[in-house]
Amino acid sequence: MKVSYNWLRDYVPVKVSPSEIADKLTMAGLEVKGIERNGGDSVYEIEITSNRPDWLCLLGIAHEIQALYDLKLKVPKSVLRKSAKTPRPSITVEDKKGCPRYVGAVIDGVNIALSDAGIASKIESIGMRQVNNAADITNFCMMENGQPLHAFDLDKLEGGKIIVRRARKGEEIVTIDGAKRSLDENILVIADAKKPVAIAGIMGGKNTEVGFSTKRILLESAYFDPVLIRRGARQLGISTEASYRFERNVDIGGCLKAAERAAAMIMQACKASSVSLFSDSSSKKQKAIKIKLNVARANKVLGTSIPAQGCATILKGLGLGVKLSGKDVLSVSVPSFRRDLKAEIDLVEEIARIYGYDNIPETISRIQIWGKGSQKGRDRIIEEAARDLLTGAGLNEVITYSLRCKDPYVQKALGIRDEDVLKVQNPLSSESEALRSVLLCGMLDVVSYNVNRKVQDVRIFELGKSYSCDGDIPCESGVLAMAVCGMKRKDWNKKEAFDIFDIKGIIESLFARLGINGYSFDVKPLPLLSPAASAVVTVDGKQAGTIGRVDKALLDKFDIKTAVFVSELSLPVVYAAANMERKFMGLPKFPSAVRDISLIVDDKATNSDIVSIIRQICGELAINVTPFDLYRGEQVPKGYKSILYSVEYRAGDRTLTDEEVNSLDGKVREELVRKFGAKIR
Amino acid sequence: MIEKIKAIEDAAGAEIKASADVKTLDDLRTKYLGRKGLVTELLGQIASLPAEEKPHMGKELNALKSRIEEVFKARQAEIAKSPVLPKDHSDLTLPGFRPLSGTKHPITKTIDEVLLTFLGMGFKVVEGPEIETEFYNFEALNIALDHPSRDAFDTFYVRDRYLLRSHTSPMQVRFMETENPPFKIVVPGKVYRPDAVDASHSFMFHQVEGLVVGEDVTFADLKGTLSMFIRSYFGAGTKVRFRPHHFPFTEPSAEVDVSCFICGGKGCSVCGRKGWLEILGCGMVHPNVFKAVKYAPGKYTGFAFGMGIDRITMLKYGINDMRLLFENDMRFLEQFK
Repeated sequence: MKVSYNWLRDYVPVKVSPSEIADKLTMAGLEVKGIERNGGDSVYEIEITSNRPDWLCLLGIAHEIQALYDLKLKVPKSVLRKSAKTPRPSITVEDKKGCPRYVGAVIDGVNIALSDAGIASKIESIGMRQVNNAADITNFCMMENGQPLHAFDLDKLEGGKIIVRRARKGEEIVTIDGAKRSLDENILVIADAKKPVAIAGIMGGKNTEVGFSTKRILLESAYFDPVLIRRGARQLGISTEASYRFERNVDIGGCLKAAERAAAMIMQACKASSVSLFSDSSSKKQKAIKIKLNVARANKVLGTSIPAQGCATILKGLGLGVKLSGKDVLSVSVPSFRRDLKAEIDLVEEIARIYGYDNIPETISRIQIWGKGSQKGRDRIIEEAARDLLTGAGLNEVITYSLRCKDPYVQKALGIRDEDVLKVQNPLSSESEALRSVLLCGMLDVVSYNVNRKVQDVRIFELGKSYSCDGDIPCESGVLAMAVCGMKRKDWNKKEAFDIFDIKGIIESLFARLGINGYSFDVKPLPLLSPAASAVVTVDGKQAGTIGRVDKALLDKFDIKTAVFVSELSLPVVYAAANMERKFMGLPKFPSAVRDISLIVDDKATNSDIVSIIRQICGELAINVTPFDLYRGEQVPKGYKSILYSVEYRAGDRTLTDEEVNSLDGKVREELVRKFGAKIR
Repeated sequence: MIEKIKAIEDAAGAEIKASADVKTLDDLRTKYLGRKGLVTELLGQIASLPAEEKPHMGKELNALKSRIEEVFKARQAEIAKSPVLPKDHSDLTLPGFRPLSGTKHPITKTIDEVLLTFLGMGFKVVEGPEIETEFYNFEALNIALDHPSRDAFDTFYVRDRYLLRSHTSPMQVRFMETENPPFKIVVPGKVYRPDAVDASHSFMFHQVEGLVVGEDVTFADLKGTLSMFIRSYFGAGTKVRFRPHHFPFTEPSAEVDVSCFICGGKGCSVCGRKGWLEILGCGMVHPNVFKAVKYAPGKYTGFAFGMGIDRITMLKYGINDMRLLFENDMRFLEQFK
């Protein structure tokens, strides 16, 4: 909201400089976002929080300055001679819930012209457009006391009367901005005998607005239900100075006074002949709300020791009624313009604000430390260990959007039904309409983004969530996703491209770091991955995820021309299997012996088959079985491979003799020949 | 025979001197002193010499053997001392073979650093779901459904009453529903609001939330704790100010500004010439929130705070466009190693 320093001083005799006031207001909760020098004036841009509709006017801010500087407010007095001869307006409120109070008066014999310079310059100083003397005064008064007003040309109201009611489906109105708007039962309107003439609390109608030919004005000063106005304004897509204030709650007790102030000013400015008695749909007096304030409790919340007298002074300065009732208890009565104050804690905030947050000491809570468990949860400890290992392995952590476009191709390939994809009901665009079911697409986005900018080596991981639906219940689940492509080594003596075994190795290292032993990679064709290089990762008998080379068809969709290796692992499965406890096992007491076996074996015999045979025979005595020198080609028959195994033997309780080791080695060789028809070289 | 001895000695001496490594030296030892070596061969020939020459030549040959042995030893020592430089290793100005190394995302780095400070103050880290209900995101936090205060929490809905949390505060309620005070927690996490993506907005961003509840937690504690965090994270000389503000779930509420660490508070383009940077919102937990989690009325007080991690990350590293955080350009990420 724009606030003029000079105009503000009409209501409170403050002498300090504009910038000093700006600081003071900012530190009291009216954040001055900017000051614009304008001739001899300074205009503040103030951010008003949604709980303080009373600050949406100059008197409200002046009230604050009164409390802050201990000054005396100058409230303008209106002198108005009402005439019983001028007929009172006919007002019928049909929707009393939507319009708890409607005050109206008729001003007769007005001369509509441009405003005089005094009024015009004031409303223009805060960026409002001047219209005519009557309309300008309604705006002036709204800025002065916060009550939005409306002036109708009474002679254009059919039947000369006002009915406050809900609009009927199919009714229309052309508002003063020239737009035609369709109305329905959700919208509260001001109607004449036949048609809506204003959208209540939001905007007036074009054909009943006051113009230069207007002779009789019907002045409206009402209180409308904030929720109704808010919904209506949203539905119609309009926000006005009036609707902004009604949504936030105007002072229901101030309607009459505001109308009298405006009528008096219009009488004078428009040289009107008379003003009628006022119609008021709810003349019952607004009762002040009483709140008890326990001063000791207030100080306990704040960590201060402000005496009861100090609290009373602050609250009085804000315009509240304060009485000492018993030791350390204040009985506070809250007038209708401060309906935001409902409970003791609201008063505590007022005391803190005016006392000054700066004057409250800085202490540290006596709560020492969280008692149960570790300060970081187990999942977080595992996640941090994983992150450290992966960055250490050369991968960069990425964060991609959880919201992405729907991808029917990926969805179909993975067999995800459309109803299982969590869609956003109010998306910003189709680019971010659905919560991701897998992280793969986001990873490929990143690869594509980089390779298309000539960054060919991409090594990434993300610890994020995937989303799905269990019936009607939306679900989310943690996922670790990885992708690598390009060169893993590019030194001057050697170049080496990434391979599926690199990503497999990273996962193996990760599992070692997390104390996960019971895992396997089960080769099988998987959707979106190349059938020749894809596997399911199983941990403790549960499917933990997949690993593989991305299928060419999918790469084409992302405009990627290089091989990309990916993996996605379920974090809950990993968390469940992880064992972060470490215990020292003692170093081996006896030496080990190594035997190498060089085999030529059918290509179909897998490493896992061969290792399991060796382990079967040697049991715990074979502590390491390591394959190396895999070779196919010359000197090896087609359909066969040559491979070397290094088997390290050790017993925990004795030194193995040469004979023992040789005997095991011999049995292994025999069995490999028997099982796989291997040739031992 | 004497000539032969002389010839072998000369040849051995020259060859040993020319040898450059242990392997060559070993081969030479075999050549001269080995079982079938040249010296051994000569020794074998002694048998066929006239008897009067035998003792003399025997002595001569043994002397030769030990002389060659000496030369071997000397050369061996020399080789051991001199560095071996095969051709490829001769130019050490070539770049080294660097192991691969990756980096955490700058947002993760910021979260970790922020949490570190609070961990040091005895806070516990807890996390909550991103998909929330209206109850946890709004109602239990004293945010009325049809109130302008909701405007600040514009929200993505995914199903009836289910939404993507627009702040990390729902975890306050979830935590208090199951735990009793006293406690100090921090909650990092992703949050979502329907803001179109541009240089300073994103529909997905990150927050760290904090909550301290006990029987006598005060606003002064709030000030002390957050000031300590700010000085530890932004530097000991950082100025802090607590400015009254409004949040439905805290009262009294404050926004916290720190003196701009770009210009030192003098005013620059980053702080909008104000000298202050707004970095977090906080306040005393509203009694209605305690009521929502069924704590005994009036028994506890507490404070809560929340900060935008993406903004702090951008300020800290001088990142001028929020989109960079989620594009994941390797050339961007690798600057945070």
